[in-house]
Amino acid sequence: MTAGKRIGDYTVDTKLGSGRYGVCFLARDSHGEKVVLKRFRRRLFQKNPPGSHHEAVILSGLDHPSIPELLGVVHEREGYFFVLKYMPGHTLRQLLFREHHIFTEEDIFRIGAQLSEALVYIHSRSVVHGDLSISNIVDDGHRTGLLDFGLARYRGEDGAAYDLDYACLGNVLLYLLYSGWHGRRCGAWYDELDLNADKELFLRRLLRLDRGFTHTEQMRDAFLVAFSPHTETYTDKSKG
Amino acid sequence: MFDFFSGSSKKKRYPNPNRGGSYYQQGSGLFGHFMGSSMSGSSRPRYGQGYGQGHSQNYTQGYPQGYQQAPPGQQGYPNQQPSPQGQSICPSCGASVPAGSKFCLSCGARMASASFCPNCGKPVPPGARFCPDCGTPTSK
Repeated sequence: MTAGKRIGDYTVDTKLGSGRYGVCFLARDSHGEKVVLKRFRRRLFQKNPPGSHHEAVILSGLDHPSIPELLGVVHEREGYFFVLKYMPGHTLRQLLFREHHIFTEEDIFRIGAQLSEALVYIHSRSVVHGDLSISNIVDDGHRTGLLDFGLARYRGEDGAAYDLDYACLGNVLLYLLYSGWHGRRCGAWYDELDLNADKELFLRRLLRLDRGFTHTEQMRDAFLVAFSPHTETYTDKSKG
Repeated sequence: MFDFFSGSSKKKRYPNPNRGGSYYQQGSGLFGHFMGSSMSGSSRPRYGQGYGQGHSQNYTQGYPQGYQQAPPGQQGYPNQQPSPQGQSICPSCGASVPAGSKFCLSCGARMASASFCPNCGKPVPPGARFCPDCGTPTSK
């Protein structure tokens, strides 16, 4: 789709990215405001017609600064689109592997705190994101956004459970912790990273290597304690 | 009904908790994207498959049948009535719309009836006085 193409009331600027769902475009509305047009692949609907619109219903019920608002639905000859609020920044995948950004303790604390808060919110609305990953999180240095609710479900639907989001958050945090790591590769993260006891236990609980969290508020509070940059007490595993 | 979290795919969605730097520091390329982003690997459709093939000739084919345009006689239905499944009817095109959706998923018209439970956050069918999931009254 070329720049300048009109889709409903929107004008396409450029392609932002693609995923299993289809393609996302940056566009502008009639007031010049940036929006995202998410065009779905036809075969996604053919394969899973009943599940294809969980995203619209779930996004309709969410209102949070870290979550893109559903602004409209466009069904035209060019395809089937969701119109979403534009969330500025790069994905964590882009920052890690294209920009080679090294995340500081402060960065990790800020991003983790905002993600934890977003999870507290969506879980309070009975929503399981189900696909939290470095490709679905954007950050502009101030605000962290949680994208792509295409696999989101209400808790209990199709077996969706909050601990899936906990485990995926743990996975994301490990990506960030490894961004500045240059140690010797010797196995699992808990053998390689120099983490204090609180951080290691927190990650173990997220990843279900230890007793899990029973509430998302409990998980958020534990994160804030374990990852606060001002309470650092590293243990050096190379000496152990 | 297709189970999005069924069987082995549900297990695959939980990340392996025992990975290390050889995984977390390898993010480039198609392999890294799929395996790093969602853990579901081959169970998911690959993007870029066939979108647009024949699309311009029959662009509504393949979209959910429940959201197709209603027969002409039902278009412009004046009131949104809950269907037996808790869906409402789009006042613009007459298509059935899942409870909670802010927009008709067929024509894009804004749905005035979208509401959610103030307690559990789940969608509430139009006209319902109590949340069908947790029983909370939907209005004060």
